[in-house]
Amino acid sequence: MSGLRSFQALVWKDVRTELRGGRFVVSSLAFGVLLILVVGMALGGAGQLPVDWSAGLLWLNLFFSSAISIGRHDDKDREMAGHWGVLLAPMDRSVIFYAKWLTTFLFVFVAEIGMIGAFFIILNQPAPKHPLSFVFVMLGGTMGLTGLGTFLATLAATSSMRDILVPLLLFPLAIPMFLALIQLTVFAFGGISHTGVWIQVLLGYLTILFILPWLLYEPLMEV
Amino acid sequence: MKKVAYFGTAVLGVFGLLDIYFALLWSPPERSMGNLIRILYFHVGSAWIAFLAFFVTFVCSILYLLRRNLLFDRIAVSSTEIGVVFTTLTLITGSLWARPMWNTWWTWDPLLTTTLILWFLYVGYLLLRGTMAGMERRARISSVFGILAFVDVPVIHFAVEWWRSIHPLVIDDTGINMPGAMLFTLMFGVFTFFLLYLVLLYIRSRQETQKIQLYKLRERVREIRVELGGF
Repeated sequence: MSGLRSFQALVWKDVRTELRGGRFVVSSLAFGVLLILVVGMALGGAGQLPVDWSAGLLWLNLFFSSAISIGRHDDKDREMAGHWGVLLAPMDRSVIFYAKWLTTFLFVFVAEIGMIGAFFIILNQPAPKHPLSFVFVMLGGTMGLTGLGTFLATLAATSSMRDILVPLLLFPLAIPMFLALIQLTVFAFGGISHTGVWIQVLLGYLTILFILPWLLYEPLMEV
Repeated sequence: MKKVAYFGTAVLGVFGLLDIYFALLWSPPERSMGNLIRILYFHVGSAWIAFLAFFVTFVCSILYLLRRNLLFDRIAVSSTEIGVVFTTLTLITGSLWARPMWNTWWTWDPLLTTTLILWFLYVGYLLLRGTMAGMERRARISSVFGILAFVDVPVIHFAVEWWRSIHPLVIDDTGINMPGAMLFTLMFGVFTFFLLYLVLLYIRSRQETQKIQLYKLRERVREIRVELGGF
């Protein structure tokens, strides 16, 4: 089986598992919306937040809800030791990572659409001044966040504290990307007029995430 | 082997006492910050050694993945533990210095913020190791994280710097910004901290080796018990 066909098969396996009741999207969405509600209450039901605050809150919310869900993404694979089948497949093991990254990205992005809607409605935010930039930031940010999250979820898969470890490892490693996403979102909201170096930071992260797992994923998946 | 540890500790004791004398008594007060400079002698030393410790972790992690020799893993974990202790010291001394100088215990300065993030990264490394079964799997996974964390440190630093910066620098593009006596005290302190790091690394790595030897002995005793009829 070629690398591309293996990749397609793995992606399709994850999509089918989710459609059969994987609950990844539902739990992320429910947790994310709840978090926005709680943040709104904590801010005393503030009507208009400064634009850099709202951008920060949006990404904080997306990071939290995604980090918690990503840590459990491969639970269904591990039921009845199904993941051994994937490991036995004759292919480069980094393909497993890239397939898992794509499906995590898809699920998180679907959940995010709901969360972003709730963010604008509950926190009473005006529409972004640069909608296209906003969409690109969301896509790029979700790709970076899910890439790093998927890698760390594999890293912590056999830890007895994996639920807490994935966010604990993800946040410090993702700080530059987190800062970049906030600044780029502020730009999309019209708070600043230029994006500075932040696009490069985000692209740098995405490049590293494309290359590093190819080098390091094999030892991670050794039995 | 014990002799090396005793000798190292004795030398370290002498250097430690000299360092305290230089830093607290001999060195003159600085023009603008006065006696607060004395905190910096310990602060800079622990910061540099912490970074060295994490660099050693990074190198040993790469070597482990290439050679699969558990010795590198033992050095990596020992170095990380020492690095976390030195990072904690850096954060505490930095905060003690910042309060009278900047009128705050904490500020969003890039070096300060990067150091705190560094602390979280390596506490995460130790937690990851501590909650994982299987000696070789633990070594493999923590090596991967050890590489990833160290590669990310400069990125974190530059990102926070682009965000904001107010930290004074001992060494910058114009050279070393310090009079001779103070520079000597600073470098003596760094050397003493380096000796402390070496002694701790040696003792801690030996302890890790002994832990594994003890584990193997326990397994052997269990096997003998089974052979003798399972009592």
